[in-house]
Amino acid sequence: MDTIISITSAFTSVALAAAVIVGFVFVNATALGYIERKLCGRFQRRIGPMEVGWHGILQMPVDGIKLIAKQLIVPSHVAGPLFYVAPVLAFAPAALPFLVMPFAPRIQVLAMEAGLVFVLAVISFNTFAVFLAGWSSNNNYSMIGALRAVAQNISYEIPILLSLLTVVFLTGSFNLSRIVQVQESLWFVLRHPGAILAFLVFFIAAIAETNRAPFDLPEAESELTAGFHTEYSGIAFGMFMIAEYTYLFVNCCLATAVFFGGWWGPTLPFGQYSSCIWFFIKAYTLVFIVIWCRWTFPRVRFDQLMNLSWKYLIPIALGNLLLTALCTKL
Amino acid sequence: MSEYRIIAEVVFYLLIVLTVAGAVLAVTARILIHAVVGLAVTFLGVAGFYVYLGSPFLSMMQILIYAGAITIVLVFGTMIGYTPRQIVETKIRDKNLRLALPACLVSGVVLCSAVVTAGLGTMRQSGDTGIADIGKRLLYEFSLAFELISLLLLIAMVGAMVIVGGQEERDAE
Amino acid sequence: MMFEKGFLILPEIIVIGAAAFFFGAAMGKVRSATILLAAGSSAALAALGSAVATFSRHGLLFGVYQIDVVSQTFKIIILGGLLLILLCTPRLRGITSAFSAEYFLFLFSGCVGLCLMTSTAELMTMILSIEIASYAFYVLVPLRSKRYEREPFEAGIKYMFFGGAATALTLYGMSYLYGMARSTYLSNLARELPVLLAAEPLAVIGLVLFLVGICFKLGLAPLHYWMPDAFTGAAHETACAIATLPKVAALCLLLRIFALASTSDGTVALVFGTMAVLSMSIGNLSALGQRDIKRLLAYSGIAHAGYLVVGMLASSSVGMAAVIYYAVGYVVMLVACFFVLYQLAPHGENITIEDLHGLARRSPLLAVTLTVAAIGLAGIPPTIGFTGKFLMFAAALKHGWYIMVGFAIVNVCIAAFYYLRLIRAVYTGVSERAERITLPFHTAVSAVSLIGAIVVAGIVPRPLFENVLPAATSLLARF
Repeated sequence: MDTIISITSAFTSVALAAAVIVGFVFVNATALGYIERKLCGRFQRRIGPMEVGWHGILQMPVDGIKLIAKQLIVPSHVAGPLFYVAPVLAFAPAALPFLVMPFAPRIQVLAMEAGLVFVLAVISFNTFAVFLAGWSSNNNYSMIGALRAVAQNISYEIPILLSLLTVVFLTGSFNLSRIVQVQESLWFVLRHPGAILAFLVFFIAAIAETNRAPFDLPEAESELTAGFHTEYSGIAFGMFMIAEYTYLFVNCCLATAVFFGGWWGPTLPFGQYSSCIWFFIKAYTLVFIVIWCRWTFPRVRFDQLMNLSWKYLIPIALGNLLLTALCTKL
Repeated sequence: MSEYRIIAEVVFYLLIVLTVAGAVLAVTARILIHAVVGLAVTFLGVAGFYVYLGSPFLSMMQILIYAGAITIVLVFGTMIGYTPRQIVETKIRDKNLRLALPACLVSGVVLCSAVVTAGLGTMRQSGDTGIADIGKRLLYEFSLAFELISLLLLIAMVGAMVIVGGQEERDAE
Repeated sequence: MMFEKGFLILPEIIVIGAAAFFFGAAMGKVRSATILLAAGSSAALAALGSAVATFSRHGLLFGVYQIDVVSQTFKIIILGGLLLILLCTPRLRGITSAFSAEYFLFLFSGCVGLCLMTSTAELMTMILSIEIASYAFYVLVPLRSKRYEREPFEAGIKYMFFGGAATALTLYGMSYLYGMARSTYLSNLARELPVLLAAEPLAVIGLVLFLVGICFKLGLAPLHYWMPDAFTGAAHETACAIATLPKVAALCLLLRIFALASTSDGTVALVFGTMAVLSMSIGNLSALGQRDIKRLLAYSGIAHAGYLVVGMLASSSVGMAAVIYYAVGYVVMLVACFFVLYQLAPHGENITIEDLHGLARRSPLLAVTLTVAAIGLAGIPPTIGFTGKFLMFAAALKHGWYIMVGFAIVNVCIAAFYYLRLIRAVYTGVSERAERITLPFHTAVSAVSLIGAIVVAGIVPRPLFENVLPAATSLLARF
């Protein structure tokens, strides 16, 4: 009871932060959508959206308004209430990880002791939403998409956990701000060979976990139309897109905090707050790399996807964990 | 402080309602996937109770393992076996109801009478339940249990593979 | 120091080593003769290991794992029983031959769990070891050869579901006990429980639920549903193992906890008395109409769980010793029955009463073995079954359980009917299959030794009884 009272007593600040975070989620998704389309154009030697606003910068807000304004078409064969619950379930928890993310020494809503576990718990819940969407659509494409998504998410959650545990071993804490503080002198990814390997495993697994190319089999458009969200239109589809971009960003934030020293960088005035700039620069650089991967690599086959996780990433992550444990003990 | 206590208690009772509602849905649902969803809701409710009992870490683990992993495994089984609108004949209205009701009544009466005679005790907070403490206990007092879990999982896993995957070898004979 | 501690857990090490060997054998190609040899020799070694292990009291791993006279006595019974089963069913007739390594892997892992069960002194470790044993035995049931398509799987699923429900009950009860006593260690529970049981009704509920879950393994009445189906669906070898070994380990836990609660005249005892009466009546009355021998043995097993609880409720050292003594006898008698079934079914098929007709002419030795085992199970002198029942009922009478013992004696009379029907089928009746069964020399030796064990231990109970008495005394005197 005491814990909960201490949490509720921070209620006003949490409510304020929640409003800011939800706003941020929308802005971030819009921005990422624009960046992705622009970069995709560049990678394919096109110029991308140019019409709406300067260099097409208003394209995504306009698209968003279009999605909201559009009629929601619900096919007659979908399965009841779950069809409507699924997009909400995908969208609603997406903002939660930002509650514990240490953007700057003073910009963190909840300094939770088990912050890392909290983020992972929320991310793992997304699978359920994807499954419900695909299953309740009552459509073979959606169903296969959901089946793939579930299998993929189960497989790739394990290397993510194992690789993050490596850093937890090095710091002895699940607290994200504590993990960042430890990296004051040098980022983990530069300091420790185990952490480099862990980061690589984490990065690959995170791309797969967020269902992005080259691991986007759940929504492989050439085989499955649009996978689990084939039957969704209008804002329901928009919610899935926002959730996808948010989880992508959450994973990059996690990598930044855990491997790339979080807010640490050259000292700035009002560093307690303004050093979040470094955090965002690092996070968006990682986002850029993810987008780069998406438009560069061809999609893998499903058995290759499974093999990559179970036969390579998990053994590597496990061995890495053991070696790191041995090193820290010595 | 007191209004926060009121908020906390309201949330607590909401959690109770959520947990029980999920459980009722899990038992009575006529579409199998609704039962799984009900179970997931119950798991989330229980995760909330862990926060109230002063162990946010356990609550996270509850969400990660039960709401995240175990529900997904259940879902996987359901997905392969049933189509979305297939109605599962629950036998709850059948003669099983006649057996289930007395069983529920008896256990309910026994538990309630026990609670009434004993009165509602106050829960004592059991010392430190931080992550470090849990870790130490797992590796000292409960080290054997900790190791046995891995043995148990190994046996269950190999067993499942032998029964399911070994079918071809059986047929070859 | 290290060496000494390793010596304490010698039987566990051997059984785990054997399981690891079979794990390797399951992945590679190992000849089945090697596997059988390894199984037999490791079981023998493990039984020997527990026999030479010390009887003094040691707590290992922060007192979680306890080596004492109780645990060692029960380990000898379990591992000796395993050895007996392997000797009496030397070749796996009912199991797909491709699975022989896997079969032994799960049999031995199950025995690891059972050995751990006898030694645990802490609730978490206890439930995990119960689960290790349960899961291993769940897997054994469907591993039957292809002759039976559906039954083994159905049996396995039933076994698993009821087992899961029983585990849920146990855990629920444990959570109450932990909530009240604030400790999962049996030594702390022993200190707190008598006070709690007197003051808190919830503690009584917790203890009963906890023990009821354990009763699933024993096959006591409200939790007996799995037994007939699991027995019929499983191969003879498997059924023989799951009928005997888990029961012994469950009995050990039940005796430990029951002695620890020391509420011989409280609600807990009343609940168990009711369950014993139910168990005996349901078991014996249902067995009357059975044609399949394994089903009959399953129902008789339910009744026998009831008899064992009668002895336990006497809560005197003689009563407890009689229970352990009877458990040994039960293992030997049941192995003898399954030995005959195994010999009669060259491809591991189920045997009905009609199949027994004319057995006396086909193979006199097998007929005598079955007769002696049935007489023993019925409780007719001069067998171990009679002596065991006599000792248990006498101890219960001394404690004043008159009505319960009355029920037990009526039940023994009912039970005699179907056991004698078995014997009648063996000696009368004409079989369509008149060919004689010739037993190889080593099989004949097994048969004669089983008969000898049942009769001699019944006529001269003292050596066996005095060997299990220290365990019983220690159970009651420990706290």
